[in-house]
Amino acid sequence: MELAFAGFIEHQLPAAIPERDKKRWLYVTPEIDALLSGSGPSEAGFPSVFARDEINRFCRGWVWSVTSQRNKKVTADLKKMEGHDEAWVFVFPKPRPGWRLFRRFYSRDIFVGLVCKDRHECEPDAAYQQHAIEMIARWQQLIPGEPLRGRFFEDYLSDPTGTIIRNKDEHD
Amino acid sequence: MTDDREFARISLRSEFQSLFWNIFSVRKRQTGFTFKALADALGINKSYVSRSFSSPPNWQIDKLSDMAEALGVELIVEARDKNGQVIYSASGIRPAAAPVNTESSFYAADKLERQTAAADAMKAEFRSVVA
Repeated sequence: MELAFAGFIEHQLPAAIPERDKKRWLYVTPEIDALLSGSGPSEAGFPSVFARDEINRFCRGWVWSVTSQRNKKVTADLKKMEGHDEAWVFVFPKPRPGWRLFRRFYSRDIFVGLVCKDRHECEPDAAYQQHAIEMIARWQQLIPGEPLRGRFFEDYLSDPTGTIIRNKDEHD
Repeated sequence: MTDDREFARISLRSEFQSLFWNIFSVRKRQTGFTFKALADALGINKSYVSRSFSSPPNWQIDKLSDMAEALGVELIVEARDKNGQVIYSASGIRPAAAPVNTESSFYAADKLERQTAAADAMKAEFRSVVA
């Protein structure tokens, strides 16, 4: 797989998820892998059981909320950014102050995280947008192929029963 | 409390939340079921239901039972041994149905791609059934 050749690591939780239970895959750079695993600066707050739960829910294919709305009041596990070519943000509300993993889909259910910033580093909005630009530049530098492009959230995340993706752009 | 124990607790909360969301989604599609209707069936206010599906709550067993009743399902209680070979239930022990999958994630991901067409077909069939 190209991602491994490009130096990306499949992020593993401390208690690895059995392959039979995996529905989605999270690849990250070695630096982000170290951050999430708690090898980064201690003030970052990782490892975090809450972040671990988020990643566990993602990889096991449990319900996942998604939005493409810019409105900060709309909370979701995953946000598709407007104004960029395939820029997505995986939202970690915890550890505090909250973290944002900027990423793209390599293919359906395979997500590649390239830039991880805490919430304060994502303010003001210009900084947030700049991280997306940086993420796309890193992708172009490290990964030869194009990202997955789709029209609907189901194009990015498998949802065979139509119940797994919680589309926050629609009213519950 | 160790991180592993805390994670196991949070993860189980998330799993129940995901389970009930799945059922709620089907009911909504089938009958137009709403948070309000679910809240009324549970005898609680709508904001509690809404919050429960935003952040995984620490439901008591009674609440899990109430939720299952309100959604018209029967909960099946089983435990899988961490080696993946054995399923425990209140009435005994049985071997796990599926063999332990030792495929690499790369291979599994590739297989997933190949299964996409089959999954889409299943999705269409499922939607036609619940429509």
